[in-house]
Amino acid sequence: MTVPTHSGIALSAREIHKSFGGKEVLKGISADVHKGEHIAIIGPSGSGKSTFIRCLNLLELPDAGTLDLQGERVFDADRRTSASSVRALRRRVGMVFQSFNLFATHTALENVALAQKLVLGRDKNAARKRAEEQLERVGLQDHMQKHPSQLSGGQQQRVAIARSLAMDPEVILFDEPTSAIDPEMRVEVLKVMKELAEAGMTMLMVTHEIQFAQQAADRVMFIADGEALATGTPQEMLVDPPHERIHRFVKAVSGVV
Amino acid sequence: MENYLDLAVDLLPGLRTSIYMALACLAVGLPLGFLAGMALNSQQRWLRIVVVIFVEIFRGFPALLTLYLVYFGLTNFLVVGRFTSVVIAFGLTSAAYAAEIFRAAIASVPKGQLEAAQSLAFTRVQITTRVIIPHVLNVVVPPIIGIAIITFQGTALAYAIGARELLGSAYSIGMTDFRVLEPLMVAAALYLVVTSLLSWMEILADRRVQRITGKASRRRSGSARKRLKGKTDDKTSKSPALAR
Ligand SMILES: Nc1ncnc2c1ncn2[C@@H]1O[C@H](COP(=O)(O)OP(=O)(O)O)[C@@H](O)[C@H]1O
Ligand SMILES: [Mg+2]
Repeated sequence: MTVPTHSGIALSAREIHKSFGGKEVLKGISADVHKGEHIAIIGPSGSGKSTFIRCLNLLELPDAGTLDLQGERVFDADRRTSASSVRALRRRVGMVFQSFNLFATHTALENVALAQKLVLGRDKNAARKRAEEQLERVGLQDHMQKHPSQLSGGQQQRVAIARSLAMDPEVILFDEPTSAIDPEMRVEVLKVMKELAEAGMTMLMVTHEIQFAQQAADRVMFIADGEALATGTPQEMLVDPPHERIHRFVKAVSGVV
Repeated sequence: MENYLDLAVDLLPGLRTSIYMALACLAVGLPLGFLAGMALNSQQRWLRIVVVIFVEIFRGFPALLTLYLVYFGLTNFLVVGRFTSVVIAFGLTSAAYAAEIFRAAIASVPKGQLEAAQSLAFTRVQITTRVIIPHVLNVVVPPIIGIAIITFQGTALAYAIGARELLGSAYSIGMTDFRVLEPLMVAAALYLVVTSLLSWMEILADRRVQRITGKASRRRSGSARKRLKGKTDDKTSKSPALAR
């Protein structure tokens, strides 16, 4: 897969800074995600990958920096941010968490239909139909009436992906979507993500699955100590890393898998 | 045998009074406990302090003392009957216990679910009505049934101010011919029937919570079944709301 050249930029993050209690966790990270592009973020644990991803849908408010969606300024740390502008951004940016975070008291189908009704104002039947389609898309047509606790980790994560897809986001953020799943069930989630990538979904994903990143990512970004150390094609970054540090990291992570 | 059946029939009005009393206490105590539980999760420190004091007082006083204070105290100012006194006193007591249950239930909403709702652009009100309240209603049923059991048994204390609830009726029936043991035994059986029924409901509700959330509900004292197994998961929490 190559970087799409003619399409515009879906999401642009400029100089994102974030500190927790005086400790600077993000030291000015920027990223441009083109429409239809798939970027994998790798890096050691504690380097700020989750914080960065969470800043992109304002689960963390950046201390400094800006966010643009399709060229439109949707966040500026220097200006006042209203609750409704935060929600307006989140409507357009999907999020898939490491720990799935499904609503435990709702069935798989309700999990996927709920936000459509509440946030997008879709009527009951339309939301339900769309939810069924998306659950089918991730291979869960036989599990729609189950509660999350009755599903495996891999199945729960696929519901979470369907829940995000049903909102028609312009970009989906993934934060280590397979890290909390038993190894033998990761493949079903990775398969769904690969299909999404092939279907042209714009994706930004933190992942330790080097092989998956090689196959599905257009670009790979390495974050260390709150900074984007390097960005490049999977070939450049994973096969022949430009830094000793990245080389060591890739070797260590690949060794585990 | 027939004698016991007759006694049981004679005790039915008393049983009915006990049940009504308990229901009225819960009708006062549960909504109040829910509000108190919300307050204990509030950001407002003064509000938490006020509610913690309320909770500590009514959990600290023996229920009988609260009843005496209400019955003998309030009658100085207004006309309150025995039934009303019981409802006020035990309503407050059950509210104090329920507050802690609701506080824990509200605080136990998994953070990730709140974040998922946020990331889906839910409003605060939508998060409360669609994520927090369903979770609370789900996990709170078994421990609330536990409170109902204690409240029902507690109505026997109303005998001390002369109310004609189940225990009181049993005693006065016994006193007519000075054979108190039989009516007391029949009353005991009736208490047991009601509490066993509630215990059974508690177990069913607990199973449901486990099925949905995938884990056992947290409560102050274990269900009957767990007690039978000798397990207690009694986490006595000393004003955790203030610790934050
Ligand atoms: N809410 C928070 N409060 C305080 N420190 C935090 C918070 N979130 C993350 N951190 C700290 O920020 C650093 C980066 O964390 P994180 O973004 O989760 O890293 P990664 O996802 O790369 O493992 C860590 O040192 C972590 O302890
Ligand atoms: Mg992380």
